[in-house]
Amino acid sequence: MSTITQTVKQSPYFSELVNSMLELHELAMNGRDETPEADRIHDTMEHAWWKVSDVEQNLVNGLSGDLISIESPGLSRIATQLEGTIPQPSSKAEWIELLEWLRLNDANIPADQLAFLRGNAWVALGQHRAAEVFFREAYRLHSIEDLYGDSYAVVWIRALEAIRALDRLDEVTTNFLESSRSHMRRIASACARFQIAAKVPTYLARRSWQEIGNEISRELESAVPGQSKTLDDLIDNAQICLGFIYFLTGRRTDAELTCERVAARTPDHPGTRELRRFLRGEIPLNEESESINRLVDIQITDVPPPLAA
Amino acid sequence: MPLIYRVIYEENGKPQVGDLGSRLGVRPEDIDVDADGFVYPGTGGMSVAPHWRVLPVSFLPKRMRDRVFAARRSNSYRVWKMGEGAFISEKLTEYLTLRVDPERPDEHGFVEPAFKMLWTEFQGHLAATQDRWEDGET
Repeated sequence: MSTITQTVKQSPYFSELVNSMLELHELAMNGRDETPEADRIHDTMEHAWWKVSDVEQNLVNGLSGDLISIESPGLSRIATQLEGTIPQPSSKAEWIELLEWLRLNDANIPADQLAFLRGNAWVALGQHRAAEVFFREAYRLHSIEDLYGDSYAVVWIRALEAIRALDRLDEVTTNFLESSRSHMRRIASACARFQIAAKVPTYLARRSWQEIGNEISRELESAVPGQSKTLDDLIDNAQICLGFIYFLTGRRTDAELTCERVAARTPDHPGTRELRRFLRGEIPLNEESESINRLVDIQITDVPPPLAA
Repeated sequence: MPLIYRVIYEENGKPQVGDLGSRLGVRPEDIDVDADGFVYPGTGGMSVAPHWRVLPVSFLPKRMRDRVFAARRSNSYRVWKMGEGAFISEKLTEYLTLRVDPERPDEHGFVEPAFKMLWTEFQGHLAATQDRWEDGET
């Protein structure tokens, strides 16, 4: 297991191969996988291929097959009996093992849950573009407003934010904020707008901090905690986002109150610690600073895999 | 002569010669070319492998999906092979040499010029092997 960990170096070549594979996938989804454009992508992959580890090569090969499952749902690997229970990974190596396990058992797992698990694995491997493709697919396959669909929506939004897909994020979050009845989707959407604005300052040309804060406030007013762990985590996260907007817009007292509110419910929430450091002046205010990025990177960590027992 | 494999565009039942990727030939970026147009041994060349199983599966043509599910290349490409010996650094022809990639000696190598020659000559010597390549997908 340690060998696997050591050989996933997250080299630029590995990211290049993953991104090339995703480009080929997008071409295939549009019926353009046999064009000169696709040939060019294949050709650029050759050099990088020999620069990555065996584990990384296997990951890219596996990714190709997993994406084909999306491109051509009728095609599937040989059906086998489900082997044991679905592993619960905690390390990068175990996520890689999970990806392999899923390939052996994919015929026995609903396609939406398969895509969701694959997306989580790619998040763990630091490849958010790949994760976004699988989360998008999970949501496409199961978008109704239940625990599954809501979880898929939340992780998809988070992936769009992670890859800084501004236009797509705007489109998806606007859709949820305007037409969804799910608090999970609505709060996740409002928070994602805060997070993208903090990371990509140009986003503030589309919406001001004030507008983003108002959206978060509106969602917090109607959400009732205690319905699910994920919703509670999202509410805490939204409070931190709001507190930070208060801080940015000079409303220190409101920011402090927000901190207290979150701390009362979740005493060890890392976001409150970080926000308090801002309030105490321990971190200089610079909207493009890494400190702010660290703060907004504090996200819910528990979107439970909504697998049937 | 070492057994080598390469995925190359197929034209009239043969690997197509050219200086694009996945052709029987090299792209300018595949080998160092000096200011006078010369190429040298040990500086890169046409990429080859000891078996198609070590190539990226996405390079393999879709007709191989019965054996490799993740194959995704157009069926206009084919896996070609040439030679029959061990995958070691050795002469392939009077003008061409296989140099095994020191970083991945069991999986990758370069077909390089056997000695200093013009890039255009090197391409010509690669093209001259066209009839010696066979279907490598079996």
